[in-house]
Amino acid sequence: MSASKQTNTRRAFLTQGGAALGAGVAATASASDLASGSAPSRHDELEQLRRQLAEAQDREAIRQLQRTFLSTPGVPPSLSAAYHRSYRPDTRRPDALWVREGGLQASSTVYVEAEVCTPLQGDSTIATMARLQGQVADSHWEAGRIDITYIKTAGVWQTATLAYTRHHPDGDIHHG
Amino acid sequence: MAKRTYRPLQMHRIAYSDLTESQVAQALRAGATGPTSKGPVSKSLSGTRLKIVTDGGPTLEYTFRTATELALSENGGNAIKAGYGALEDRSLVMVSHLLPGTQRGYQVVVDSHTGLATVFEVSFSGYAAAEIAAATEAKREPQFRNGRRHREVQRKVWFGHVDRGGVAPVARHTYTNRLEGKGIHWQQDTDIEILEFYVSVTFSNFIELTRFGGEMTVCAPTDYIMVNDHQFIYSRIECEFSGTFTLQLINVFDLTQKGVRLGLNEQDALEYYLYTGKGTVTGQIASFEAFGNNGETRGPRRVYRPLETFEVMTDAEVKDQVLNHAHAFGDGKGSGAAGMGGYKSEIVTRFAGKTLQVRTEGGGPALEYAFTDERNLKWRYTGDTPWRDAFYEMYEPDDELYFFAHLLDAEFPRSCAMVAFDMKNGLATVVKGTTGTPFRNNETTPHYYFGTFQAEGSPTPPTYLRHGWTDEMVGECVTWNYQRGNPGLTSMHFYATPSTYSWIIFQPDGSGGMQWSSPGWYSKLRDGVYIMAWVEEACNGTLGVICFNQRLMHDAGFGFHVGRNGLSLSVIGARARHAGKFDIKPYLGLKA
Repeated sequence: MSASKQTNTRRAFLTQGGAALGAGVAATASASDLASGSAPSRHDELEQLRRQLAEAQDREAIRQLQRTFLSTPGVPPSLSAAYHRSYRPDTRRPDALWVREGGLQASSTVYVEAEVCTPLQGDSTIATMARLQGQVADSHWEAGRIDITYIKTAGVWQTATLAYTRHHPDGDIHHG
Repeated sequence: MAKRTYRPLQMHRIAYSDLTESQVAQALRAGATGPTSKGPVSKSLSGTRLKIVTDGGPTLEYTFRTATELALSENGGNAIKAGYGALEDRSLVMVSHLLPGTQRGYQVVVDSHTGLATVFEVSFSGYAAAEIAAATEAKREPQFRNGRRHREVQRKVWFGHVDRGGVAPVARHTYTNRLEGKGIHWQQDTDIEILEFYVSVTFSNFIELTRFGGEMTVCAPTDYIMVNDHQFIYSRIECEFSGTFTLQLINVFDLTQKGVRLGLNEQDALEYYLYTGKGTVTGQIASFEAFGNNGETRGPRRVYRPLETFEVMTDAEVKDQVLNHAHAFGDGKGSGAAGMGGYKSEIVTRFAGKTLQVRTEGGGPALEYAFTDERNLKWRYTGDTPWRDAFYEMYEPDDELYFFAHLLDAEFPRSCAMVAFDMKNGLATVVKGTTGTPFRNNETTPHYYFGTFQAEGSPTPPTYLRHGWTDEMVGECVTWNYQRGNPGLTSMHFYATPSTYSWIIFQPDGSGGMQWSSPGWYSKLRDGVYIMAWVEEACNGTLGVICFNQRLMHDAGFGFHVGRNGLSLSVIGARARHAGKFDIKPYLGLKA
C-alpha cells in the first residue's frame, strides 16, 4: 500500500506515486513539473498527459465498480458474517483510493453506514411470505469501513477482495 | 340472506384447466363485442373522441362511434374497431374493451372533471413470458408446476391524463392505502352477493356468498388507486384460481360500485360483464403505517403463489418422512424460540410424575398419560397394555387451563394429539392431526373431539356440558407478532367465517402486504379463550392449532407439518393486538 496517502473530501482518490488523481489534471502536472526541477519537453508533457488520462480512466472505472457494489440491493454477505442489506455514505469520514504503480492493482477504503440485518428464521408459510417481501427479523444501521482491492485484467477492473470492519463496537448510528 | 349455492370444491381445490394460447384466443372471441351488462350502460361517450396520454405507457386515441362501438389507435397506429361498455360514477367514466383478434384489452377510467386517467392494460397468455423473464433475471429455471397459466389475466397500470390540447395536468391518480382496513358487503345487479375486505394495500379478501356459499374466504393480489377522497379504483386478479380480472369504481359517499369482470370461469367460458352494486360498510379495522404514510409509493404488488410453490410429495415420500424423519420439539430438547415460537410461555412442569386420563366423545380417542418429566411422557389408548414414549411440551394459556401436544403412533399416515384440559371444570378437547388429505399427501387433516378428563386434583366434570364450536371470533382481526422486530415476523389473522380465516403479512412500513387464506375451525374453552385450528391447504400443508386467550392477547399452540425435511411437531407462541372487527355475521347466516 502506498506510503503517501492524502485525503481531503470524501471522494478524494489518491495514487501511490504521489500524483493526486482527485486534484485534477492540471494540478497534478504542476506537481510533477516541480519534482523534475526543469521545464518538461513536449514529449514528456504528452507522456504525462497520457498517464494522467489513463489514471483518470482507471479512477472512474474503479469508482463505477464501487458505485455498483454499494447500490446493489441484497449485497452479498461475503464481507463478513453479518448480512448487509444496503449501504449509505458515511459523510463524516473521507474515502480514499490508491492505484498501484503499473496501473494493474488498486485498493480503496469506503466509509459507510451499513444496514445490518438478521434473517427471519423458520420455513413456516408466514416466514416464507415475509421473506418474499424482503423482510428480516431485525435490522439496524452501524458505521463501518469497507476495504476493497481491485485488479485490472485485460484492461478491465474487477473487485478482488472485500473486507468490512465495523467502525467501533459502540458505533451504532440508528436502530431501524 | 340470499340463497347460497355451495360448490363441491372450494376455489383452491378447483383444477382450473391449463388452457393453450389458442384455446384462450378462442374463448376471447366472444368478447370482441364488448362486455355484457344486466343494467343500463353509459351512453355519454357516444359520438366523442378521447386522447389519453400515459406516463411511460401507451397513448390511446379513441373514437366512440356509438355507445357500444369504438375505434382505437394505439401510439398513433392504425385504428382498431372494438365493442365496448362504459359505466359512470359522477365525473368518472369507466370504459372496458378488448382488442379483437388479440388477447389484449384496456380498462380505462377517466375523470372528466380533472382530466386525469388511469389505464389498465390487460392481457392473457402473458404469465409464461413473465415467469421466464423473472427466472432469467434471477438466474434460475422457470417454473411451471401449475402450467403456463395462459388463462391468468396480466395487467399493467398506467397513470396519465386526457389530452385536451392545453396544458397537461400535473397531478395523477395514485396508489393508496386509504381503503385499507375497510370491509364492504356488496349486492350486485348480477344477483351476486359478495363480502370484500381491503385489509392490505396489495391484496384483498373476498367471500363469495352466492356462488360459493360463503364458507371460505380467498385472497387475490389487488391494486388500490385513489381518485379523490371518496372515489377509488379497486382491481384484483384471482391468481392461483381462475385468473379472472376485476376492476371496480368504489364510491364511498353513496357506497356504490361500478365494475367489470373479465376472465375464464371454471368451465373455461368467458366471463366478461359490467355490473353495478350497492354496498354496506361492515367495518373499518386499524391500519399500522406511520401517520403521513398514505401508500402512494407502495412498492411492487407481488403475487403470492402457494399453489405454484407447494411441492406435492408422493405417498411413498411422505411415508418415508413420517416414519423415519419425525421430530417433536427438538426431540425433547425444546423447540427453541425460532420461527413461530418467539414468544412461547414457560413450559409447564406441574404434571411431571402425574397421570392423566382423557375421554372424548363422537368417536374420538380415550388416552391415558403418565408424564415422566417436563418433556417426556408415556401414553396409551385406554384398554391397551403397552405404554409408548413421546416427547411433549405443555403450556398454560389461561389460569389452570393446560395445552400440550405429542406425536401418536409411528405409523402411516401419522398423527399427533393436541390436548387442552381445564383443571377448573374437568373438560378437555383433543385436536388430532393426521398427515394427508384427499388432495395431497403432505397436507394435514384435523379432527376435533370434545370430552372430559381425570387427573390428580381435577374436578368432577359436568355431565352434559362440553367445549364446543363457536362463531364468537368471526369478523375479528388480530395481529400476531411471533418474533421481536418491527414488523419482523408479524401477521394479522382475519377470522372471516366459522370455517376459514386469512393471514396478512405486514410490510416494512406497517402496511398490509401479501396474504392468503385457509380453512379454519373455532372452538370455545372459556369466555375469551378459544382453540383455533387451520390447515394451510394447497399452500404448505401445515396444521396450526392455537389456544388464544383474548384477555392476555397471547396464545399457546402447536404446528404439525410434513415435508421434505421430515415430519415436525413444534411450538407456536406469539403476542397479539386487536386490530378491529367486521360485523359480518348476518351475511353469513349467523346471529350477530
